[in-house]
Amino acid sequence: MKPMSIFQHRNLICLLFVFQYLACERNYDAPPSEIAQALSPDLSIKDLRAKHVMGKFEQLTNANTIVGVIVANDQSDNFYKSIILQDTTGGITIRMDGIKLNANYPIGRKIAIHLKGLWLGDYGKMIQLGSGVDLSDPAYPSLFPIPQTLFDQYIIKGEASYEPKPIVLNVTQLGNQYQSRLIQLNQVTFALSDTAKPFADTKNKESLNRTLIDCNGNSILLRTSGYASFGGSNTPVLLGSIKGIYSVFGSTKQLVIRDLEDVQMNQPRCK
Amino acid sequence: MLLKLLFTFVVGCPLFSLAQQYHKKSILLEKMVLKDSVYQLPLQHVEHNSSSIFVLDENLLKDNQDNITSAPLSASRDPYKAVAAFQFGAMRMQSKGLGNAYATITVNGLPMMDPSNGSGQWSSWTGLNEVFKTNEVSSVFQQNSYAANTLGESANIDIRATKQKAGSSFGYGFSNRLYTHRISFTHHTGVSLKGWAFSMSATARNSTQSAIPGVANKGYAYYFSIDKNFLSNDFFSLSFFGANMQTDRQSSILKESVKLLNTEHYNPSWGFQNGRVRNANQASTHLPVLLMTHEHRLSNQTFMQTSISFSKGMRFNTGLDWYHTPDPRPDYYRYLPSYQQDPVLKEQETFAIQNNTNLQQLNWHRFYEINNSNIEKIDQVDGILGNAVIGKRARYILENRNNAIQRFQFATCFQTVIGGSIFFSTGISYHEQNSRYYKTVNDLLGADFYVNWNQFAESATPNDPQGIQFDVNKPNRILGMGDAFGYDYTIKNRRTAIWLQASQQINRFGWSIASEFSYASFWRSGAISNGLFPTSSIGESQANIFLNKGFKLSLNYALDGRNRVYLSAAVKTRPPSPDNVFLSPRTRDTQQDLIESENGFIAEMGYLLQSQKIKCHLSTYFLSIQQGMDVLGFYHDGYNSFMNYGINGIGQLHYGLEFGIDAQIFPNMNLQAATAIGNHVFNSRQFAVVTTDNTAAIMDQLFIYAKNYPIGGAPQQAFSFGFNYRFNYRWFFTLSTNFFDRQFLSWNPIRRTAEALYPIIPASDLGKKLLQPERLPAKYLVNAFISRRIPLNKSGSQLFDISLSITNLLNKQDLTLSGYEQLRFDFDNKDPNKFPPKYFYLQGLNFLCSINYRF
Repeated sequence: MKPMSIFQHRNLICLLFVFQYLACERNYDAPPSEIAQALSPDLSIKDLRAKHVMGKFEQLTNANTIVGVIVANDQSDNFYKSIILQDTTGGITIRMDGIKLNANYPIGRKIAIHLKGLWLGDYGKMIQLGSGVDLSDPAYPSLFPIPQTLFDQYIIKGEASYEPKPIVLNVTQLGNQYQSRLIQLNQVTFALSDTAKPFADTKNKESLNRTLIDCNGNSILLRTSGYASFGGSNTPVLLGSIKGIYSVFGSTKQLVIRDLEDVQMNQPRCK
Repeated sequence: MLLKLLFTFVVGCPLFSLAQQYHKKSILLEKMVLKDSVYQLPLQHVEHNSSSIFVLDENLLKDNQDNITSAPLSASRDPYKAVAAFQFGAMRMQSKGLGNAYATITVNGLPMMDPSNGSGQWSSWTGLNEVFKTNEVSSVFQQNSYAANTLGESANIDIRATKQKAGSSFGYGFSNRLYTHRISFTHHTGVSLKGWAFSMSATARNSTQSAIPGVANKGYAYYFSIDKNFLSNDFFSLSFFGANMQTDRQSSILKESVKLLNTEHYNPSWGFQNGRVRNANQASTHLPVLLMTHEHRLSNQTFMQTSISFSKGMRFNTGLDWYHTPDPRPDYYRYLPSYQQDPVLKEQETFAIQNNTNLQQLNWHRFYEINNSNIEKIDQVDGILGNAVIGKRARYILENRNNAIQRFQFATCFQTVIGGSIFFSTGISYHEQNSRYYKTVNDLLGADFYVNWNQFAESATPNDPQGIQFDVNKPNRILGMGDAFGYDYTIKNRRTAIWLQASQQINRFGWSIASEFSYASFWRSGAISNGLFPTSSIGESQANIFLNKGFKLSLNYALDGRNRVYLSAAVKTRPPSPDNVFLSPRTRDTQQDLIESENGFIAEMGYLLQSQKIKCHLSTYFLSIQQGMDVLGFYHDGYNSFMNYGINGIGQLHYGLEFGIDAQIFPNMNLQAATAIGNHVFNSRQFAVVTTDNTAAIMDQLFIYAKNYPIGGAPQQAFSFGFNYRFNYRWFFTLSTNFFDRQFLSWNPIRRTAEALYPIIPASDLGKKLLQPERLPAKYLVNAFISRRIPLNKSGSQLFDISLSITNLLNKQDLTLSGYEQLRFDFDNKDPNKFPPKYFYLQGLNFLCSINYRF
């Protein structure tokens, strides 16, 4: 078959454009970007975290602003109704009552949070920011997530950029100052009993813990939600590096990855 | 003389039509939102479903109202219908609670019905009221020569140039209704000595600022007709007409929104873009018609008329589609204060919404911003390995849901008088219609592309990568502006009918019979192989074939020259519409298991008084429509999936009485009153088969406990009381008060199942709350009309006609027009308020002022 010449194509395309122009209204200009160009903090995340006493709830009454970069969201559904924000001093989990948060809050986007009116709390010693205290179960008070309708009242969106470099650490170095921060562990591998096993129980939508160990035998749990899109994949057998958000549950150290890109294990296991 | 008598006495009882209209209408409306939370914004007014013989679409009604009322009511006009059309029509009430699927509207003797829903093809001539006047409505006094009216009414519109009165007119209208300005020009030459006649009419209208926020409309309509009459008694006519209408939609709203924003006229379907109002839900229609008619007159009493028409056009609605991003609808239930448990947060949300337009309306800037910052890579575009595209992938788009229509219609009829007294007419008709449904990208909202994937299939078939493909032959297709995507299928309809009718008047006694037989078929023809159903989505489905019949007998007896009584009964069967047969035509050709024609019966008895000073019509009716069908689709919170309910055995019973009187109480003053007291209920326990939309798996079979439930929609009872005053044949005033009651929400059948109710006890408080359909409050509506005629010459051939019509004179803002329960239901907690009903409200005081110059 003789191929259609470029010329014919062009005619056709021109014609299509003319038709489109005639057929549709093209009166609506693309709006200017609603992204704030400059965001300036007057409080570091580290200082904000310092306001919290474990087990208590504190309402933030001063008009302070923190600014940070989003390092995790619900892109792969391993995080649910929350985003993780960090600046150079620390990280914090923000509880948000919405789904598909990644559309507005993609990883790498800079955002500012106006703190006045928000609350600090913790869940198993994991410090969080929310919008109130839910006392419906008096034995276990918890933070209310920020309602979707109020997102824009508290959160100002800045430019989108790349995610920051992770902090490279050893398992033994991990402590609460690294909560909600993007960290990287090198030379780690899954415990033998946890290799080639699914990250999570996607069938029953249940989270699972898999043990990561380094060559010195230090361990940390990798926790993955049963809703994670990659939850059905198997854990690697080999050794390498892993990136993720450091979190705690009580005294248990945990790592939570954003997706499988965070796991780069292709070296031989240590003896 | 006899013939005249015959015409006068032939009883064609004004049997209105279609039982299910209101229920169905609501369901049709729901059907549009079928994918409740996902496909599009909430329910809209659907203009094409609100028409009947008298009450055309809303625009037309309002136009008609003025046009007809300004011409003093003609003697033949039925006193009940006159009031019902003008006053009850505002609440979308229809005679006997029936819509128009049983009615027949013919243009030049050609039935102009849309076989997909049975309604008239009004959208082809909306706005052309100067020419398209339904003045040949069958009634107790007249039988339509061009169609048999068995169960249902028929009307003919004659648009031939020959039939238009010579003259010209220029009109201008100003209104705060759906449009602001309207101009029209009409010219009829009359018949020349050589037998030529030419006629044209054109109108244009637009709304610069509407009383309904976010709604701007524009449109134009045109009509040309050229006739040549030969001495041989052959009349040829060629007409071409069409109307191009673009309307913004108004969404139904929640009571919570009304309270929150303190207005009944909230419209969530628009938002600001660069300071301009942009409505996401526009409707556009343009269906031009070419119509050729030939009439051959054999004698004064005998003629044969044949018409052929071609029509090709398009209608589409726009709507938002979104993918992996928050629901764009500002009144989505999770965004409202009622969703919050905590009183402090509730208050904060209330304050935020009340003070931020972006939370009340669509946030277009946000859609652009999200699209702009979403860079994605799509691999294997068009199924080609290594063919990757990187760019801004749209999470929100504005899509067109298109319906391209092609029609060919043919009809011929013959009329004569047998033996000097038996009026006889017969005819055949053929109708072919192909309706193609497909989607196109209207606007990428700042993104570079969209992908032809079915997001609802993602979770259904996680292990089948083909499942998400809308088109398996071109997987991962990249979509640009204007590209077709999603589904593409055609519903093909064919219908052939033959009818005959006869009537005779013997002294005081008269009889008439009418009968019709029809052959109808429809099938689906899929153009795309869908990933979920690769084989059943493409190709021609099996045809559904229906043989239907209708029969009517009516008798009348004249007590004296003024008083008559009549009795009539009719049966008719009617095929279901394809919408109610195909479970999910967008993805496959699966049908309901049991497909049967609807079965209607009506009996009516009436009394008529017609004297110089008083016209009165009293009638009672009993109507039953059985074996109705329906298909509902919605997001089912129990299965966490889209489900289709194929419903069978919908039975309805309507009985009631209608009364109208037009009495001259002073030489210049008439009293006009009418009442409709109806009781319209479902009378059967309906049966539903529940299937999963993504897999076609049958999940359940259940009963819908609908027996004795009222039919929701329009009021079933209405009273109107008014006066008109005529002065000098130049001034004309009308003032009327109307009262409406017995109006129910269109209730959700899904809620009346054991599946939904269990384990709640029906007699418990919650049970009652779940089962009892809400009755809307009774309401008053006061309307007025003034017209002034200014002749410019003695003969009156040149004149100005000025009129002002005002609806809702008391400017009441909180009058509900209608409402419906959402199909989505909280199966877990049985909370009827989680997905509460939505309502349409009547506009406050609204007016149309028009001036016509005739010359």
